[in-house]
Amino acid sequence: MSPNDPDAQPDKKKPGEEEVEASEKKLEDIALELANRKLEIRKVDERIAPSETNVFDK
Amino acid sequence: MIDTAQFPITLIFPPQGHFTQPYLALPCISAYLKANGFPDVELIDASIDSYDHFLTGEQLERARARVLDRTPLSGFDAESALGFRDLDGFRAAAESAASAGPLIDRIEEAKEVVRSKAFYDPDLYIPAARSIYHGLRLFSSAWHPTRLTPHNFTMGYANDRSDEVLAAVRDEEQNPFISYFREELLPKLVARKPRVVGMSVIYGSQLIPALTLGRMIKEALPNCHVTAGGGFLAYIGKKLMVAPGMDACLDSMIFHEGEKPTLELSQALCAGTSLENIGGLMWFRRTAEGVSAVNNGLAHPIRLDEAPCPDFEGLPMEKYFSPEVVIPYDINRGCYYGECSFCTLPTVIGPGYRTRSAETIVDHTIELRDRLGATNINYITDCMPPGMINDLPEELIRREAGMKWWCDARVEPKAYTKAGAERLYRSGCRKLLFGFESATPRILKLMKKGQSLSSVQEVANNCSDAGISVTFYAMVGFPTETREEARESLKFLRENSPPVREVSLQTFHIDEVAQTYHEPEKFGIEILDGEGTDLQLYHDYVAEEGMSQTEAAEMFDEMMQGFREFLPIFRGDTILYFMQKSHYFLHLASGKTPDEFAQLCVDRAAAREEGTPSREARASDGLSFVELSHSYTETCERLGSPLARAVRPDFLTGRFVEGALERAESELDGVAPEECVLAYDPESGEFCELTSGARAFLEALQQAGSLGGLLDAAGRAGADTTALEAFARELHQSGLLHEGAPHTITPARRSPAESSPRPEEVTT
Repeated sequence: MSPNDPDAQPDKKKPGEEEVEASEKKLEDIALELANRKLEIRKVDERIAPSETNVFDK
Repeated sequence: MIDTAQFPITLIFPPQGHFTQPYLALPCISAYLKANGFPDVELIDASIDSYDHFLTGEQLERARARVLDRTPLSGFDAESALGFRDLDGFRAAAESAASAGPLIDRIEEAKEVVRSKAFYDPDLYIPAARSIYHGLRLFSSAWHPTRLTPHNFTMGYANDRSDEVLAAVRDEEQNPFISYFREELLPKLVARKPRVVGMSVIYGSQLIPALTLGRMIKEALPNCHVTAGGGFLAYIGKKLMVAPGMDACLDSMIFHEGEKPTLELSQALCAGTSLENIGGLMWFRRTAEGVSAVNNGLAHPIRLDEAPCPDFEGLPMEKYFSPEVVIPYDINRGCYYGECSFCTLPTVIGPGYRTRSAETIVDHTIELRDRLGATNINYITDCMPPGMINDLPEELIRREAGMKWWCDARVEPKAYTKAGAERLYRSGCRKLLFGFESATPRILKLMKKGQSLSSVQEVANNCSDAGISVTFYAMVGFPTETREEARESLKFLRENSPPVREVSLQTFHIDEVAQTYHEPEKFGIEILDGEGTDLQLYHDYVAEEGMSQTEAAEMFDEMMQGFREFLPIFRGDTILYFMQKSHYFLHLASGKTPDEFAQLCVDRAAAREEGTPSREARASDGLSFVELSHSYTETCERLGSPLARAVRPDFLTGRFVEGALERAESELDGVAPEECVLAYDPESGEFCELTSGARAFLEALQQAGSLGGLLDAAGRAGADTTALEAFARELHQSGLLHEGAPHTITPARRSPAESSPRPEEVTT
């Protein structure tokens, strides 16, 4: 048994079946809600400044 | 009896220079001093030392606290539009709030990546390079409006006014180098007690840090003589030496090459004799009546072929942000061509043209290779003379030097023949940078470039066919150049990519020593003078025809956008390899061909732009979010415009454009209030602006563990997953989704033995 083996760590309980179910249900609720939300991402168009193209002289 | 052995000399490269490799001037002077009886010479690269110091968890933690204290995000009015003056501070506060935690945790690892073999893996290198950039942004935010980047250092002061420069030197609130020097560098100098400190000021970005350090040394060590020289001071040194108050920072200044004047200065100070006969020196005579600047006139240049091999001893090679050191070495000084109307080289280097012999160059190359355990060299030359294009590779091959190298070059069709290019490749040449400048014959004639487009193509093709990567220097906004002519250059470069792999584009500047300044009528321009700019070197101008300076700045953006479309290295995030000096070269030196590297860049960009995330795709556990009252993206876009850029001190000239702030304030719209979320992903090192729904999506993805898990949950709940899948693709394109487990880094810096010479392909 390695120290990293979950069985070697008695304090860490594996989630029970009920907990798993509750967690799955929660994720489903969130996913359902997400399908109706405004999902947008914007990225900055990275501009290269003159100083950044001067790399050979500097 | 003079005891030069007991005469400590310290030579310092002040911040800010680029952080990937050492600079050459001080090792040349150190070797010359040691060869002439001064054994106790210390070299300090305060630029890399300070980068390394600032980019630590401890210092970034201090930076975060300072940002919170000076520019809290809560200080920006959520109800009103942000005016132009607020934008820089808002961006700093927002980025700091989102990224400080992850950066503090990861900055050491990022430095380790760029210094180790992990550098060669783009999946590791790109996030690491971004972390270094963002780490510097965080650091700079703490000293707002000061900015330290990989390429520059500017403050809210102009470099062309001595009163502002001297105010910056004493500004504890905005000058980060005061506390750095006080805490880190000065105690070491006080312990050593050098009799002479010499500083190499090559760039405008070093001026304020150098004078800051000079002042502090003079206060702490009154018996130490503080001198400075270097390319930038060759331009403005005489003005600087007569500016009121400058004697508090310096005792003397050296013009043109530093070897002989530094030696003679040290000899005179050691012997207690007069400084009056030292050529190349301007110095302060301090008497009871006051202080006056004495200019001794120019010195005779040294015989270059007799100059010793540069001595890099003492420089912290392990600190540079590269996995292998690239040694700089000068094969000649001056330019054999010397005709280009925009060039001011004689002002920097001094008059005349001198070269070392191929035998000496290779002797020194091998000596440096063996001493430093390095196999990469950057031959410093403004352009390799035609004879040397033949002789140097022959000697490198004959002596089996086993080096990989790059240098600047001039288009010489008779030298860069197919056979000539192949010989260069066999000798280890992997990259050449040619002064292309423009595709318009009229402009080339005005520039006196003395080259035709057909010869440019011929030389570039020969080199590329031989396996050498070709970089072009290009210029936009030369007096009278029109937009159409600039677009012709862009078209020419597009049609010649490859052989062209990189373009270093610059906007044209007029400085006081160029022909364009002295004969403005020949170029159809009227030179404008600034008011109170006693250190002015660069001038604004009005063009009778062609692009204005503002239009040239806009054209710069248009051309850069074009390059990103057709140059593979520029296309995606691999542009970071181009932006760090020698980093692309190191891939070539490690065995990648230019074609292979280009393909790597294309594949990487395509995977991001066109790829679809797998069901296993995940969101980083380290994602951090911050709620904002105004759009981060719009803020950055305003700040990136040419109008806004003109408000900052220019990177080259260090000066403010007259009326730029007022113009930016009146012409750039404010950023209206708008609730959004700024996300920072430490695995990709990228910022993204999100809606609150997008944030919820990423948090749900973290909870689900994989995209498949989230989509399955949505499916079970009866949701239409089409929109979710489409958004996942957007996240993928933005670098917020990851395939596979997070990368772990095994530090493995190349040992000298591993990077030692003898590449197999060097044959005779």
